[in-house]
Amino acid sequence: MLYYAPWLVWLIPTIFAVLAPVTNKIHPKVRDYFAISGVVLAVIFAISMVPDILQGYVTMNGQVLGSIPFDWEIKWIPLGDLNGDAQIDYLTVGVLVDPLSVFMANIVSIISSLIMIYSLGYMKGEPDMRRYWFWMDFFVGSMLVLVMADNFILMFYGWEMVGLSSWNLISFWFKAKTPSPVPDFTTEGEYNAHCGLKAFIMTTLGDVFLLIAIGAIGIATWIAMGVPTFNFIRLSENTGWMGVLASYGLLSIFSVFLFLGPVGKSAQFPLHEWLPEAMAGPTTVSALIHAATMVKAGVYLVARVLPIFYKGLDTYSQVSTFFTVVAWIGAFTAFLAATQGMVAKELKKVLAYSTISQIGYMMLALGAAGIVPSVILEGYTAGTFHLAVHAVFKALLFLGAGAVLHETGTKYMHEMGGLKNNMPWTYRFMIVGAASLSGIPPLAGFFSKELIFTTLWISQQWILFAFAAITAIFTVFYSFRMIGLVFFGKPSEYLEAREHEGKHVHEAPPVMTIPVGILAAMTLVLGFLEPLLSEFFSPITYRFHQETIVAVETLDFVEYLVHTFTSITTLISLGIIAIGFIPAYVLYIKRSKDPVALVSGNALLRGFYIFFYNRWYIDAFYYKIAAGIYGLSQKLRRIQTGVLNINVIAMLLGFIVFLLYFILLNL
Amino acid sequence: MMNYENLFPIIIPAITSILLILIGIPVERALRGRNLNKLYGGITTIALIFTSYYSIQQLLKLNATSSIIVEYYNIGPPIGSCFEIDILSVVIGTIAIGIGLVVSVYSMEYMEHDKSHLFYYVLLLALIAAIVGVAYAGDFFTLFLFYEMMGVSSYFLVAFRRDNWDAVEAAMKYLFMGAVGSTTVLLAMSFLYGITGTLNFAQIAQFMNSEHPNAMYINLIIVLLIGGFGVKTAIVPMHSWLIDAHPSAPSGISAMLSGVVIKTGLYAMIRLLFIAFPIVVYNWNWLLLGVALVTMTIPNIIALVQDDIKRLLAYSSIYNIGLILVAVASGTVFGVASGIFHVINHAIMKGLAFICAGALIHAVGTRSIKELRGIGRKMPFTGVIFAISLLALAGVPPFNGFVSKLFIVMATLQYEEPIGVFVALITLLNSTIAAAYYARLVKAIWMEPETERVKDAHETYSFMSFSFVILVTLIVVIGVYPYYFFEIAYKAANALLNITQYITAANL
Repeated sequence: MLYYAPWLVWLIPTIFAVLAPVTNKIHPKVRDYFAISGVVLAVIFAISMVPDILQGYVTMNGQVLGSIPFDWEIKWIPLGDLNGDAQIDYLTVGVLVDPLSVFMANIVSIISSLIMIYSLGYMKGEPDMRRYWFWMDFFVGSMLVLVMADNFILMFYGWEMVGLSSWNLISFWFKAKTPSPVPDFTTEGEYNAHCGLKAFIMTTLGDVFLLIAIGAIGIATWIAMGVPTFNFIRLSENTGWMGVLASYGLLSIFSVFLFLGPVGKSAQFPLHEWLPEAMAGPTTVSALIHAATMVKAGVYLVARVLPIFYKGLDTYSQVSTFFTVVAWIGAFTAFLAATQGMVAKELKKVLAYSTISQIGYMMLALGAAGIVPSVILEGYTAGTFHLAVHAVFKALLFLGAGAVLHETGTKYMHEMGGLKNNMPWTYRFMIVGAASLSGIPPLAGFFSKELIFTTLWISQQWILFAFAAITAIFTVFYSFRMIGLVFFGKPSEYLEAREHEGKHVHEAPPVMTIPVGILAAMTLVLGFLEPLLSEFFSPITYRFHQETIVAVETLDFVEYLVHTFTSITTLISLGIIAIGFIPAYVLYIKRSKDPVALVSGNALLRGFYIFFYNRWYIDAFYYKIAAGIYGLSQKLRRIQTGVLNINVIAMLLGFIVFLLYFILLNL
Repeated sequence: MMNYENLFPIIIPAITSILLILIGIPVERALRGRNLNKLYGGITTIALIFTSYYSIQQLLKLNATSSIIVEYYNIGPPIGSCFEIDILSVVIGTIAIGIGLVVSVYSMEYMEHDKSHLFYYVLLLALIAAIVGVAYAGDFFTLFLFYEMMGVSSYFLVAFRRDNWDAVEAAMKYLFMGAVGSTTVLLAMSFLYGITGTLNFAQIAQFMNSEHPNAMYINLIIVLLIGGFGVKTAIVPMHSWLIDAHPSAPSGISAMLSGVVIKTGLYAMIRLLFIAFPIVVYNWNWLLLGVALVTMTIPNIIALVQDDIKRLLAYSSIYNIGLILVAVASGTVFGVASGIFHVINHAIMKGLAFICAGALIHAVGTRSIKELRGIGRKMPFTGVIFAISLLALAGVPPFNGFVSKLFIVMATLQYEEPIGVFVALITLLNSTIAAAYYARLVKAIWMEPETERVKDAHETYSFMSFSFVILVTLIVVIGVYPYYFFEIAYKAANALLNITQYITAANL
């Protein structure tokens, strides 16, 4: 690998971010290209670590540093007996070079760089670019430190920083003066700022549970090993800490708390309501943060702790709760979000719900991997592979959607229509994206979905399989509904009005279409790289299997293809695609029936429509809770009367309560 | 031992303050009407720099197993009074001197347009000397002397802008409540004197740890001590003065109050509780835990709807006192260490937040958050640093607030399970609520359209900026590399819990 690659891969974007105000003073073009170069450099460093994983040991400057997984630590805080000359132990922080971290680093940096290049076109003419580049670079740096970290503390730093960047980027257009789409606010700028804050607070709620779990791990390792550690390698080597937690009956609950962090960050039920609002940010932000990278942080964390918990599964059976919760929340979220995606009116909202749903699939795969331990390998590979595949096609879809939004000036799909002639390349690339999302062979989405279905099928988890299958039907439906509404049919009245004003809709500039094209090409090819991926992950996965040998990792390429295309799950997938595609085709592409009439004519469909459109009323419920706490706060503030007599009486009451404590204690 | 040089951290500010008065009054009369703010500020700053030199020297010299005894004229207890300086005392003292130094630099610019600068700096120096005195005290007489001196200085400082009715009213309420608190403490100590026969802390510790007197009287004493010192510490039933005192005091004084004065009350409370009342016998830590939980929760919820920026920060200070108490009440070394670490961190973060808020208020002339919207973009330097201090308070890495929060969570898990999980959950849910109002404040400052009043605000780089830079550097440094600071907190915790060493050092 290149010199100090695991450190520089995240330090460079972060430093370049801080330098954005400086380059801004020099020249706008310098600022733009400098910021992009930060991420491009990260790509170079990330790719340089790949050979090390493939060869099994890390080399830098011609020297061998160690074998994979390679943990590069520095001493951080001293703990233990600080008085005398007894052993001082240290809390360390550092970076880890192992398949998962290098895999994630590459995905994050490559997709980020494509999106940053796209931003040149999309954000052209924006006044606040210094702020934009700062937060984008800072985000990439933070995401990279999140995936490269070798311990929970440094990872949590990255975790919080991506949350901070996400907040600022969602609220990017807080100065917008156009009227707000929602009646609670006056300007759209206020609405955007609110969306950012909502995202931050909702993910913070998940993060505090993660923090408790981290704290518990610290204490448990302190008790078990005499010194606290948060390091992933050490936690998996010595699982005595799980025993400590189990002895207090707390292992299951803390493992679930740990999962609640990913629930927040990856927008799973019940903390999923921030992602649709996050679409208020620029589309590049939505593509980068809310499709390709930040929301994957939760999946990454689950994948990171999966081997640790899997190892503890033999001795401490309570940890199986973790896997069950992960799988079921994943399954339910996938289903929930897909239903909402079917009825969404805004283009980006469809993609947002789709993201929530697809991440649900990843969680489902990872969780199912542990529920039935024999499928650990398939499940792990399925989850991580789908992470990569989804990142590519979702970024593709978002960037394409961005081009459409940019050109048409509206975000509502019913105000679009017939754009396949105006924007031919965007149309073609988005069809590829939608097909990949739907799992149509031979695109990458097919392979990753197949792997998930296979995992569930061979482990005989029928209910979860049913969830996955039904959700897949919905997925195909909403993907092609989206394509149909945007690209087919006649242009809407809104577009006709724009034509008259002279604002002709044409294809986006090359700086925007080329990155989309690259992503489309990647999605065509990525599926076939799956056997390579299994080999790539082998340093992690070899530890899974002592007894059973699974076919996937020993297949060669042709065998792999044959195996994939001739299994029963493939037949089921093809059936799913057909069931989902035909209604979408009829209603939205061929437009032979009117969906509006269909729904309003049938009471049951209408009921479903209203239920799904109102987001299953979950969002409304959360706002009610918020209003309740606000009301409580207003009532509680009255205890601060400002009247001295009352203050002193309160003191006296305090004394009496304290005395009461002792009286009760001594009874 | 007449090694008075150990008392320089008290003597230097006290003497400077007396000299300032003696020389200042005639000078004022001679140079009638001239604005001598920077002159007095400069003298104060120089005096505090000398003081900090001695204080840091002590910090480096002491470790967890040594303390220094200083007695007046070699007359020992129980008749004479003394100071017993161990590393915890020095930590508190250094915080006071450090924050005081930053505040005096800050005030050189901030207090430009006020009157009576002489008295401001005199009182500030007296306050710092008193706080160090409380921290260094080895017996009750000394403690009470300096405690009252601290109280009186802070009462007058709160009332400093005597043309505002709210400042004078807040100071009066603070005075009365403080007086009630002090009297309660006096009552408790009189009981304790009756039982032990001495006012000296080391002797009290020796007596109480060897013979365990009747629990009934002792429980009453503990209640009176917690409640009495609790006024200055601002625990929940006794916190009402803080809410009014902070907004109306000058911002530098709010920083001192929030960052140091309430920590001194906390120090006095826990010092006395830990050395005199063994937890295993008297079980007061559960009471402290209950107090801590209430102290965390109630102000947090009220802070959600505050519009006055300094009032919001005042509620937040009470919440942080709750956090410190919840860690300390666990009684373990790590718990107390994380509590002391948070004392250090909170003093820095809250001090910075108050002085930045002061700069913003100074520019625009209002404390209302609604009116201050968008000011971050007009005053970017102050705005960024203010945002950093708020994010640090919210517990966002890589700032120091995160490290202390992580350690406090770990400390709460050290209570007996399942109480530990329950306490940890409450702590962190409160942390979410706190994050909500800090984030709302950051949003108001940076991400909202500017209001009319804000349109003319502009950044001025002056002494205020210098004080911001010192504190924000500390926030980042401690956040990224807490090594030395946590080590000090850990040593201080060991010193507090190591009662035998406290007793033997007094050569009884």
